[in-house]
Amino acid sequence: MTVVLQDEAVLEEGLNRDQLYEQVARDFRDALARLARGYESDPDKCRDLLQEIHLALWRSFDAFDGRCSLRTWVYRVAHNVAISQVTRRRRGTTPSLISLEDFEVLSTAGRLDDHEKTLDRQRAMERLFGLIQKLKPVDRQTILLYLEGLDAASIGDITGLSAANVATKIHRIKSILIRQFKKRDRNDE
Amino acid sequence: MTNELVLNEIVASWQEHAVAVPSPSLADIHRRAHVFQQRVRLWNAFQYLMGAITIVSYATLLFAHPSVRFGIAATLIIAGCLFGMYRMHKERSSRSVPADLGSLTCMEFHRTELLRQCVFLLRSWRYLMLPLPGIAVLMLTQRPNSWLPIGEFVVIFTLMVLGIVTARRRQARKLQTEIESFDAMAQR
Repeated sequence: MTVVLQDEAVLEEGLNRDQLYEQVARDFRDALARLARGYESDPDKCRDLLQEIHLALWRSFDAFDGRCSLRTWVYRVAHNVAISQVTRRRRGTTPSLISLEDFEVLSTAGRLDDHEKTLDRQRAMERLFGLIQKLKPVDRQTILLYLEGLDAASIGDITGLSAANVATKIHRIKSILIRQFKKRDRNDE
Repeated sequence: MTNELVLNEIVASWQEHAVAVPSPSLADIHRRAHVFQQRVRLWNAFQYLMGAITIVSYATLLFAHPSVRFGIAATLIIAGCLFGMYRMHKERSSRSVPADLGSLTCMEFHRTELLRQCVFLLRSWRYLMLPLPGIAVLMLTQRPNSWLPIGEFVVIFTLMVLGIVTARRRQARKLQTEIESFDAMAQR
């Protein structure tokens, strides 16, 4: 479930940094954990990244002036921290990442194994995380935000992509997801 | 099952999926922020200590060997080292306080970071040259019997700088390609 805070109320109430952080940490806890997991598969690195994101959020609230929505602010900070940390840590050692366009072409090879007759939700999510971690930063941000239920305009505000570009990417994301997960449907039948 | 239903199910499953990673408490955040600040202070203190050691060492030598040539050499070395440390301190400080984390979009932020790294890669080799004038004056003032050691030093130093410059330019080119792909994407 996506949570949208009442930003004007937040500013009017004059919440201090600690109060604002506590509210955001409570409302975005699961979304931020999924975001961190989308960038780091290793549990320890994922935990470290999540803590970095929370710390950056707490520090960033001194500069929050309500010019964008609080949700936009939270996702921008979280994605910016994640991408900075992941690229810094893995520079030179990471396998090359692919775009959504490339993934559409390659995804046939990555389809579910026919022998996997029953794939529970947990495994489906693991597969989805695996798919996300293969994507280039902007595509990764777009799919993570799409899965959190954000609309194209909000994704554009956070990522900086144009509306048309976001629409194209979402179209590709949908196509990839259907191809990846409809197979499971057939297997289950 | 229709495509729309499949997508709805995936999105719903995603949003219900709880990742088993604990979020830090406010007390944890305060503690980590404190540790972070201490680390920055410690790093700054280390930089100042190195600067102080450099100044004291060369100032001591300066008093031990009072000559105009040695004075010029020592002053140049001190100035070069201090300027290098100041630049390093600035680079680190700007990275440790990302004031625009939330105000820039992900693409703007990522591009800014890449550009900063690119500029640093292209400029940082110059810092290697900072102590060079002082060292050169120091070597020449010793009135060497043979120019061979000086020649060896010049060749080794030149090769080292060339190697570093070439490697960094290659890295910078890769970053530049990434920056250009961001620009192309932004124009779409």
